[in-house]
Amino acid sequence: MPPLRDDDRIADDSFLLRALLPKWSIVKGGRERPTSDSLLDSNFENSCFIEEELSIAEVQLLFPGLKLARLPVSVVRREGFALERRPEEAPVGCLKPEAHVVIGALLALERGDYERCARHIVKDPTVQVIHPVDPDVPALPDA
Amino acid sequence: MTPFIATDATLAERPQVIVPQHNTTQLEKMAVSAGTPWLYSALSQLWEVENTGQLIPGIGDLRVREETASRARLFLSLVSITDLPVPTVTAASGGSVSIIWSMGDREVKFACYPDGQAMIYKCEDDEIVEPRAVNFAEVSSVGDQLRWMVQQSR
Repeated sequence: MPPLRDDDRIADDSFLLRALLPKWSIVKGGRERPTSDSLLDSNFENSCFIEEELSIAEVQLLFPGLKLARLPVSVVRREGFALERRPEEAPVGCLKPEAHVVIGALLALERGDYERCARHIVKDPTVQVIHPVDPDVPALPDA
Repeated sequence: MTPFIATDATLAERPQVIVPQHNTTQLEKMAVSAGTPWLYSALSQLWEVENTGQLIPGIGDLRVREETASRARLFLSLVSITDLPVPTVTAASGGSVSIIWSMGDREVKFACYPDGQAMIYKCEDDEIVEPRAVNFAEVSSVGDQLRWMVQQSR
């Protein structure tokens, strides 16, 4: 079910993390970005996690080996998507289920408009793709 | 009901279970004989998407219904252009299937949704320039967008 309302307690300057399946990222113009498919859902809802509440490392633990998209909330809202907390739908093992949200259009969109909105989000230059940590590469010591 | 006890004798009496394999379809045979590697690759990727999709909490429901995959195969069968790049076939949450061809600045995306609807998007410079519902009855128009994509490189 798509979000019923936009939770305005989630600040515009926060970020969302979305796990990406292997074919959900692409290099365009020398820059890696998520594909629009990573933000499309037949029910107009996509799972994400609020980075301020569940860190990148914690989300990576939930989805080992997968890349993550890091999406500014302001960009998601700019395209008309709303954010709603769904702690009850958080995956098993999630340390902070409250950090789980679904994003999507409040009103049903035409397929073409939905695709266009998703594409505008993933193309935004502030959207990042974070690669999984390679367990064979030791972490750098703190400076 | 007598419980089944797995002894050597009972196992020998049980009919052999045949696990369905990835059968070569008529379309795949056609892909090989017609020398269209893009089609063979598309069908292989589609088979994988159809048969490996799972419900993954925190990501989405990637299970693709047989009817959705069949409509995607129908679309592929209607494309009469042999000289196409190998597309990327992927699933989106909720069980839709996307087939994406890219060539230079142009891209064509075919999307088949679980409610039976299908769309085709012409994209240029990473922007959608034309979204259109697919009419499977108009065979001749199915490849128009792909021809538009291929023409730029000639």
